Formats: sequence, C-alpha cells, structure tokens
Amino acid sequence: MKGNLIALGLLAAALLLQGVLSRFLPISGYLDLPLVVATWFALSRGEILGMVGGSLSGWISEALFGRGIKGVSGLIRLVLGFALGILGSRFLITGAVPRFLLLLTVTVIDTRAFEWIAPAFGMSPVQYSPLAMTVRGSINATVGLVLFALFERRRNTRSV
Amino acid sequence: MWLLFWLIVHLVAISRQVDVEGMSLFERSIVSLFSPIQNAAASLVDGVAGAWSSFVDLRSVGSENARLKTQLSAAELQLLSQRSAVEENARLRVFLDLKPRLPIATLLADVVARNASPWFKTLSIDKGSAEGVTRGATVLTPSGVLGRVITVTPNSASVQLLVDRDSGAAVLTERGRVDGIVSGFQDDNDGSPLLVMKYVPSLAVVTPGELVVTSGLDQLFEKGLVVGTVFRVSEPVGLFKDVWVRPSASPAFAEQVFVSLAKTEALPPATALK
Repeated sequence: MKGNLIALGLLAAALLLQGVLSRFLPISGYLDLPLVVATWFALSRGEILGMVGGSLSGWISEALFGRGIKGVSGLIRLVLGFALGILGSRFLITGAVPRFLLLLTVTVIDTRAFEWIAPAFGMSPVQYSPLAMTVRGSINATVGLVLFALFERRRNTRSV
Repeated sequence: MWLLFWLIVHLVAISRQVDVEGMSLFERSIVSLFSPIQNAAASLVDGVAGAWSSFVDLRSVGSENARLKTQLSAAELQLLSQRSAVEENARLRVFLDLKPRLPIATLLADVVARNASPWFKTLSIDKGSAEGVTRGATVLTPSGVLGRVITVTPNSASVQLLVDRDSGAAVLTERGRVDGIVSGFQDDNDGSPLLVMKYVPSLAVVTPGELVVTSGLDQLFEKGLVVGTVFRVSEPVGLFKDVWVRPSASPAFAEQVFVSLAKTEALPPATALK
C-alpha cells in the first residue's frame, strides 16, 4: 500500500515538474516525465496497477495541459500500462540497452497512437517527423534510464 | 477482463464529453487540486530565480541605473509625441463621425506552464474566474495576440495558443486589407512556430513583411490586434493561395500575459476554436 502511494506521489511530482520545467525549456517536444514514471509503475507493479498508473498519467496530463476532449491519452496509456505490466511480471528487464529500447518503443507507440486516434475526436495534435520522433524517444529513454536507476536504488535501500 | 472493463469505462467517459459544455467534474477536480500546487511551485521557482538574479544584478546596478535614466528620458519624449498622435487620432475620429474605440481592460497573469503537452500548444496561467477571467477571453502580450482562454477554474485558466493547429482567427493584412483566417501550422525548420493564413484570393496582393492584424469579423478577437508578419506567400492553387505568417507574440518567451476582461462571446461546446 505504502509503495503504491509513493508511486502515485512520484506520478504527481512528475506532472508538476513537467509543468514547471516547461516554463524555462521547450521540454514537451522531447520529454514526457509522466510517461516515464507510468512505465516504471507498470513494469514494477504488474498489469492492474500498470493500467491505473498509465490511465491516471494520461488523464491528468490532458486535464492539466491539454484541450478539447480528454481521455484519449488515458485510453492509450491504459493499454500500454496493461502490456507493460504483463511484460514486467514475466521478464526481468534490467539491462540498460533493453530498458532504453523499451522506453523508446513506448514513447513512439504513445505518440503515434495519439496522433492517429485524436483526429477521430476532432483534434489536430502536433505531428512529429520521424527524426523528431527518434530524438524525442531517445531523450525520453535516456532520462528514463537515469530515473529507473534512481528508483531501483531507492527500492533496494528500502528492502535491505 | 479488467482491461476490457476499463477500456469500456474510458470510452464512455470520453464520449460523455462530446455534448458537455465546459469542464467535466473529474477535470475540474484535477485542475482545482493541482493548480494551487502548480502556482506555488511556479512562485517558488520564480522566487529562487529572482533572488539569484537580484544578487547578480547588484554588481552592475550603478551603470544600469544611469543607462535606464537615459532610456526613461527618451521614452518620456516618445510618450509625449505618441500622446499627441492619439489626441490627433481622436479628433480625426470625431471629424469622421466614428465611434472612438475604448481601450481593452486587461488583467496581468503569470504563466505557470507553457506547452507542457506534447500534442497541443497551450499555456496555463495563475488567474481564474475569481479574478474575472472568462472562457473565450483574448490573451495578449505587448507584441500581439497570443491566444484565447479555453478553460477556467477559480484560480487558474488554460489558454489555447494561436499557433495551435486547431486555433483560428479572422485577420486582414494591414496595407492591402486582404481578409483571411489564420491557424497554427507545423513549426518552422528552426523550431519557431508559424501560422498559415487561408482563404486568401489568388489575385490579392500580399507582400512579405506586411503586418497582419485581427479583423474582428469572427467576433472572437477584438479588431486591430497585431497577429504577426507575412513571412512567405505560396503560389496560387485554384481560387486561393496560402500565406505564412510569423507570429509577433512568441509563447516561448511569455512569462506574463494580459488577459482581456472585455465581455466575450461564449465558445461553442467543443472547446477547440476551429
């Protein structure tokens, strides 16, 4: 229970940090902190809580920073959280390269799925070129690697 | 099974928004919960940044003071000449039997989040309905129009920027008086946002460098507000040609914005301005 509350706190902190950092840097095009935290949440807590974390990260991000119909990102991250939860409960993804590739893939799927589904609800989101998408995914994955290492260290310290 | 259940819950929640005007209860709760924390975080960061810049500024305060005094004198002279121009303008308006336009009443607001969404061009500001901000209000910077308020809570508001792909404003070119509609376009190669002016007749004369202002025909934006400068004109295709406009107000550098307090028309149920 305490672990879940900490994970939710981290999600809230990621959302706040995303907002504060956006005042100084154009980070939204390169980095999605709530997505990184939701990915960690799903990988470490299984499919049910992965769905909850993914869904919350999408819904709250859209409520705070989006416009128009809300919930598309929540829907996408619900499915992503479920898939990542299953992946995390069956495989041990610990190496830097597998984690990097996983985060890169998650970022690309999340962004492309939104670009594909949002027009069905009358919204025209920013379209990322393949190059911009690769840069965005790589930065997200690199930041994710650092955050994953920090979360893991914290978890190991608590369990010792 | 759980996935299917939650997918259905999400789809119902999304589809319920289609006919609902304004914010849903969930959205209102989330924004009301987060906006005070977001405002406090922004103030804290500003405080730290302000303290640091004050410390750095102390080192060059003497020379800067002298420079500012010179600038102030020049500005006062400029103000005097502009005041006489305004008086002359008012007199001419009376002569022409035109109604003098009232200045727009505005409110100063701090930007607490800027383009934080990867998909939409929006801003969050720290003023809401408690300070008189209404949905649909025009948001300006000293350089020109920035966008319009799309959602309001008591202590915060969300602004859809003019450079968003779903935004729209009726405009005209200052010299040629050519009408059109601008909306957001894909960013330029250097990353700066661009606007595209549509429905410009093929035979209309529009030249790069020309100023583009709001026409007021959409009854959304007040007339005569600066939108940007013509950057490029496309070759005509059929009856129309596209004109690319570089916006005057850059959201990348907006730390404070003015929100119009003038009475505004209600937005349609879908929050997008298109």
